Amino acid sequence: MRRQRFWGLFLLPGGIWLLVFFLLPMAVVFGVSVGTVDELGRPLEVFGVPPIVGAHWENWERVLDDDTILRPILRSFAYAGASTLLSLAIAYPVAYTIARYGGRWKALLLILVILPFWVNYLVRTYAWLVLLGDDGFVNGALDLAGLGPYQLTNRGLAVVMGLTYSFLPFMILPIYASIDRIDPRLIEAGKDLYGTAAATFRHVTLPLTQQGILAGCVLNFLPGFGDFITADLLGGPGVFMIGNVIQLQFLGEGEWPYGAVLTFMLIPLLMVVMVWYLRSSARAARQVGRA
Amino acid sequence: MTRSQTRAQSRRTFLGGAGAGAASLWLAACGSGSDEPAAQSTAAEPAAKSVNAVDDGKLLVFNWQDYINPELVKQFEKEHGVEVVYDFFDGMEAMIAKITTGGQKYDVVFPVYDSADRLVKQGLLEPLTFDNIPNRKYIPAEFQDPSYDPGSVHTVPYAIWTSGILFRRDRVGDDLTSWNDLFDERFRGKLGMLDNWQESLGVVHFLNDWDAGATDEAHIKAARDKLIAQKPLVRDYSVDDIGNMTSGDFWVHHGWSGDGYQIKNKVKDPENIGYVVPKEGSFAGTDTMAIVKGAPHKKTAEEFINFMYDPANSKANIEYIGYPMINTETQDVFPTLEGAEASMAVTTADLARLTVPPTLPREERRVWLKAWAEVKNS
Repeated sequence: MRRQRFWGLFLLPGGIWLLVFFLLPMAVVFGVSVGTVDELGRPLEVFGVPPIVGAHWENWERVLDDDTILRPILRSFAYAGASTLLSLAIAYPVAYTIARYGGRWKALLLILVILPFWVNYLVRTYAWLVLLGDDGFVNGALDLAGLGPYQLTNRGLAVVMGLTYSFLPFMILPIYASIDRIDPRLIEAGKDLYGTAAATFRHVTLPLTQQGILAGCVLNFLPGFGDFITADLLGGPGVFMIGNVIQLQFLGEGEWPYGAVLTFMLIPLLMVVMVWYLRSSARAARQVGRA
Repeated sequence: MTRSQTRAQSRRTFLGGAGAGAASLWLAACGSGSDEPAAQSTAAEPAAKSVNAVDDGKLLVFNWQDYINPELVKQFEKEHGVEVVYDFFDGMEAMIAKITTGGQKYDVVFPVYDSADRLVKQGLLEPLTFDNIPNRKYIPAEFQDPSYDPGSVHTVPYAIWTSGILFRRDRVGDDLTSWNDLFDERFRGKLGMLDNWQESLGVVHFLNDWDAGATDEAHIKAARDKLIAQKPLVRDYSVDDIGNMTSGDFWVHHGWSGDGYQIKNKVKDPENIGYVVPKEGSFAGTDTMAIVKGAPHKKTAEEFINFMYDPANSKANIEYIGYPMINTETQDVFPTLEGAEASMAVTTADLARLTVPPTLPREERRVWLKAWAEVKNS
């Protein structure tokens, strides 16, 4: 009994953190969502008085009539989904190579993976613009091959590439961890049992790294879905994501209540992804337990 | 100008916004009770004296990117022994959101006249201490009692501008004269539009000879539809007309007069950069310098405004930003600028000739903003 209470204390810091930096702000966001704004767009009457009676539910009703946010939501799904798949395709071989063949260079290679993050995001994005511009290096190279020039910036493709680039390390690292954890004897066993390299990969390595893949996908998809900076910097007129819509409510229009409503609207959408992830990882944990 | 906020800026602004998001929501929530809009303070008498509430040797300036001569900032720092901390906004809405939500303090801001009007009416600008700004005497007569700030109590005029079309002569020739050129199939993928509700929806108003300063829902909806139809031609909505035009990826850009001059100063072939105020008419306006209510360094801020209004400094500033400053002693500076074109000049006559929209009440602004959001969402 005493012992349990001791371990329970370990939850305290995390619990306080969640309360102060998650639940309370969410309560404020909710308050704003049923409030009004003044002439300059500053939120007023944040909690209504009393909280629910007299609340401005019309902010919530507006979202039901607003069919203009559908496209940005679909775009967010498409861009985040595409970049997650692209990221996976790039990250898996990289993680595999580092984990299995990195040897004494492992630490260095992992540092190289996160090295770009030591450079300011803006500088990196400007570098992209220079590389991908109409007169940039990529089009220059294509020109030598007799192709192009193609417009590579200010379009959806550029946003997908930017998202992939931003979140790639969050795909590489969990996959690396899951591959690194595999007992090499299992892979040897697969080969000993006359499995081809492909069959061994499919029946041994891939299932054992499933959790890393899932974690990487979630770590790519969720932040990618809510991202707005990438679309803003690399995108053009037709790439507005839901994150941009929300951002515009706060900094572009003084429509804080509606921005707060949209923020809440996204939660159930993203919860679907999260719940799917938690269930599949729980299932995987049970399987491992049984094995 | 001004309005050439760079992409760099947007990220900074947005990140600041995102990071401070929860905090400022919280602050807004806490402060909402006491944040009653001040009664009309337009008639306020100038304060007798001013002090720096915070004595940390800093001055916090909030401005458009590329809208001040950086050498002048350095000179001010040296002369007054202060450190000028510069931050940038990319539009009036973002500026107002940031100065009103309390996450970050600012001293000097550069609102466009109609935003200055709204800020004055909400009591969000400090009345200026005239004794600290002796150079106010260079404010031209017609700006001493502007409609947006009766008596020039809270603001000092900064510079005036027109909106129009920036273009590369080597790519598109020299015969652009009409807003219709922004809808020309030839410029597909090479065309930039200002990321600004009033400017962009305004273009269609000018084309149809509608009053771009009036809120007419039918006109605004028609403007929205025309801009949505234009989207396949547009490469980006952006206020960074300077950055976009210097990158070479854009041939034609909806933009601001003085930015043409700045672009010329940044590219290798300045003779190829042109600017035109289309024949159908356009916007013109005044930007101002003002001090945010509760500014931590009010005295230094007034010294800064005074410094910028010194005729020699105003001249040096015009030579950098390419916008004429409203100062009786610098009226002849712009025409002498090397490389500036006649089309980029702005005079007070332009303010009478072109459209200077009135300050729109919030409900009318929302009609415009909603239409613009629909353009961007589509």
